[in-house]
Amino acid sequence: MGLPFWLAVSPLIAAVVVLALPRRAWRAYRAVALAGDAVALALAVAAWIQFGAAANPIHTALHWFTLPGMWLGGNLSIDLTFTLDGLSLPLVTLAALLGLLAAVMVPRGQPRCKEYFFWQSLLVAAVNAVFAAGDAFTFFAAVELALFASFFLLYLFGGARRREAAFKFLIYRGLSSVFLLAALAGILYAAAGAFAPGGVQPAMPGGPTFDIARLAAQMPHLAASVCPPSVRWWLFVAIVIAVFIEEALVPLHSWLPLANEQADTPTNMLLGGVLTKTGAYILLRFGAGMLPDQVHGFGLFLAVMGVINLLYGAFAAWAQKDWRRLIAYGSISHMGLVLLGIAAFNAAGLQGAMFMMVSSGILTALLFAVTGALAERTGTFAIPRLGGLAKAMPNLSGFLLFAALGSLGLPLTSGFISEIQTFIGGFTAYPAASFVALLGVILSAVYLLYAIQRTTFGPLVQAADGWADARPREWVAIVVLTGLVLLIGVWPQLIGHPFGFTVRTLLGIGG
Amino acid sequence: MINFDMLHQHYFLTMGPLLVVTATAFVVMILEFLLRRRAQAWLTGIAMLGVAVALAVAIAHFYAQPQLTLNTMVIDAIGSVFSVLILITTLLILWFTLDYSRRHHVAGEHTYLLLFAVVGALAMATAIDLITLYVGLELLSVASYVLVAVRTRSARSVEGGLKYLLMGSIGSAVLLYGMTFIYGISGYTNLVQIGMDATSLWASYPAVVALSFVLMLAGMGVKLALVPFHMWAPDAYDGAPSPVSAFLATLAKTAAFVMLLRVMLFLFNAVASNLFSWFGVLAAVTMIVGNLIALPQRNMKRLLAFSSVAQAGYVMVPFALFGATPYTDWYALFDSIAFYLFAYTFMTVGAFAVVEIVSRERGTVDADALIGLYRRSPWLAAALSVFVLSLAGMPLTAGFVGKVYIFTTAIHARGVWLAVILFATSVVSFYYYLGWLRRVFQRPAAEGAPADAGEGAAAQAAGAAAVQVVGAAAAPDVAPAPAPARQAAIHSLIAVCALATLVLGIVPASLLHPLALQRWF
Repeated sequence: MGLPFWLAVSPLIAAVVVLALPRRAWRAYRAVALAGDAVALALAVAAWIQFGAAANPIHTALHWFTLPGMWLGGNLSIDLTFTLDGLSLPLVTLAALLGLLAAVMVPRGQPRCKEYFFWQSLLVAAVNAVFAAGDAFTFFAAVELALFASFFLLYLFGGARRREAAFKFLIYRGLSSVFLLAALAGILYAAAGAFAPGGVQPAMPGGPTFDIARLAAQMPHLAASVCPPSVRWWLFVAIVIAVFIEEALVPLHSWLPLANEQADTPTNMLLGGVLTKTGAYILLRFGAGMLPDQVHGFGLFLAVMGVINLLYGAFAAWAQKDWRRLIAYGSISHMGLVLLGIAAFNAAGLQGAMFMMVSSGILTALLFAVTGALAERTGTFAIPRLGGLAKAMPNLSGFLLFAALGSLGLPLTSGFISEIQTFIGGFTAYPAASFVALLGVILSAVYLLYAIQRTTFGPLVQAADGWADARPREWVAIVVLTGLVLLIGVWPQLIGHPFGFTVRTLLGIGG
Repeated sequence: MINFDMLHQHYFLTMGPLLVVTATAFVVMILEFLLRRRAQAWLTGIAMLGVAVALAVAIAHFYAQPQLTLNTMVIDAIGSVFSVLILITTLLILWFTLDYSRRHHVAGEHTYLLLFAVVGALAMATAIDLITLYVGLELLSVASYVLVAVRTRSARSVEGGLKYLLMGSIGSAVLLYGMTFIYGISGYTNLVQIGMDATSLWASYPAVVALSFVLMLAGMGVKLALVPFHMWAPDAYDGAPSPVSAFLATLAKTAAFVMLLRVMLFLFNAVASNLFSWFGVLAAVTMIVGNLIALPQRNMKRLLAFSSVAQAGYVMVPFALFGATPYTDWYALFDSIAFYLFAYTFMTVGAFAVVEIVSRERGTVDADALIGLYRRSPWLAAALSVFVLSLAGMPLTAGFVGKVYIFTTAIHARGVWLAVILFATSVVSFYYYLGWLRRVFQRPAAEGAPADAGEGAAAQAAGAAAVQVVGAAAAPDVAPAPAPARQAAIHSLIAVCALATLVLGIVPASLLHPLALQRWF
């Protein structure tokens, strides 16, 4: 039980402690949740040091149980494996950081705080485990746990239509896990040779394994006589459907704006910041990592869908009257760019897609944090009912402007470095699609600046009595996230270093 | 040379638990005549003692070499594993009865009828002759009909019993009809002998064998309450006393599953690849319909009935795979069926016990009786959460491991479509299981959050109305409000079931390992 295990489990322990604590004040529950999240973040930082320049994947495996007689008389081992490699390290750090900040952002006197901190810590543990999982079983269990925990956060806490939003969320993402599970189990058996055209052909020494590293080493190199291309196509189709729902990509996106509109600010930071990055992670891990030929084969489809998402998201964001829906559509637009980068399947494109996942995660969380703080004072997220806030709350308005500029890709922010890499990759592989996609960059400036202009400038719509500028707990989240946006923008090597290793591995098998 | 084999056969080895339970049943029956009605708890205690002895015998012979006596009774892996499960279930049900009989008037016949039903169930697990198997099934069925209808003053109980009797009798008749075809073409009732001729029978009379298979499947389908033969289940479960509902959902189903397993494998294994895919159709329909009709259900016992229909569908999945799996991997199918039934038994008995406590306290079986359970009794709420999460298949519970096992065997045997349906319907089932959890952790309307006030008040009004209606209907049958004390029996039962569900979920090797040591064939 090494470092990655505790990284995923420490918020889980916090959740159990919160549940076990007898009736206490808000402060006690928050302290426990913060402690669990802080330990996870500290372990993530320790993992960076251990990962180091040599890029050693950090691996820890815990045998759980064995299903006997599963494979020509052999057994199937069910383990809890956690591995941090170049792809998962930045993402798991993002998850741990946003988990901590979300707990910081919980307002004083949150109603039903015990339940709130329980579900939130559970969700943080689950998303940490999603990105730290080293085998397909652990990964899937973590995805399911995240679904369960976020459903309850949505269902119990949030706006008036939260129940509708929660059930829509549950149905969509539940459907996505059906396809995900079919794909994962299919890959498991396909890699072991169960679907060979002429009957079972043992291809995996020691029987089937869930281990992602071994599957990724085995799956792309199997001969057609062991794993026929038709099987690979079906598996990839299942993955693509799962990714489109999980990632809220058009045309399966409608759960995300509703969920973001109804959820409260800390939940939105987790939902928009990390949970919606699961889909792209699946596509990179199991799509590009295990079925690279199919990513090439579906490349044009993915690129076109990426451009459609980029433009649709931007246009839809322009039309929104609610900040949270605007941010949701903005994040859908970003994910279109991720899809374009993965479809390009070259060094710049893949690296750009990974950068975009992290950058979009930070910026989405930052936007939710700032707009949430504004709405706490003005009482509304509706853009037409806001105006002139720059005079009343200059600091928060300034950070809102900064987040928007980062989001539209201003140089020296993380958004810029992500977009430029993705476009370099995209133009190499799919120039026409990438050219159309450039329109999205202009549109993102339009919708964000239009909304900013209506919110912060112009005459003050409401009375400003008693509006304090940012409070300490809000300062923490906003300043940390802003600092990260700048840090990655100025020093991209920080996350480019670990991502680079994974990019080279992926290109090694599929390039 | 005279053959003395008949004299020293291993009678006690093959029939030990059966003989012990039969003896206990007669002792309890005679004592019931002699003693007055106050002695109900003593009778149940004696019955539990007898069953515990039988369980010890069964465990002692758990890894015994296969033995056959009288060409009829056998001890083998199927027999010993499922005998142990049947006896454990019996202990749980008797434990449940112990509590139930303190609060409600229980007919004196209850205990020994239950024991005779268990004798039938054990015969179904260990017999290897069609006639003996059928007699075992009828012993179990007839005793169950009476047990369901034993609350003669409750209209619902009698209605449920009557429906069960009619449907069950038709099922038995259809099953017997199917068996006669096999007897007709083979001339044997012994499973071993028919099994040796199975290939040639299929070659000579494919239509008759197929017809017999379908009829027997339909007959067993009624006993297992598989869709489309499930109509009796909700009425019977709802009308029966709670321990009997739990008995029908667990013990009766386990016995029917083991009989199905044995008969189908011995009679039809040679033609498994042709016929066993029919199990898949039945499993798929059962999973889909069972889960969908459970969605709008508000009556807790009826919901558990539909949920047990759906759960039976999950267990049917491995049955469908015997044809497509190589013999070397059949062990996984046996293990997955056995593991799921163990898991299912603990979570279902536990859920029925919690429902019994809640409905007794609130005077209604409507699901809204669960509202505020977490505030009233947190430990009970925690136990119910364990059972419900396990039924839904969430990680760290027994149900999860069972479902993972069945799911992976299905993928392995290229039954991907069954695996997908299993998972998709499990997702559907989250809706109604989480509906229970939501109520458990919901505040009662009086102190609820303002946003919930309207809905909660309406629910409470509905609940209050239901209390009055149900209370009026069941008034003669309900004992005067019992003192809250003396609940130790049922609380310890719930604790044991919750613990077993968690242990099987967290350390599945505790059961998987003994199962892996069994030589199934």
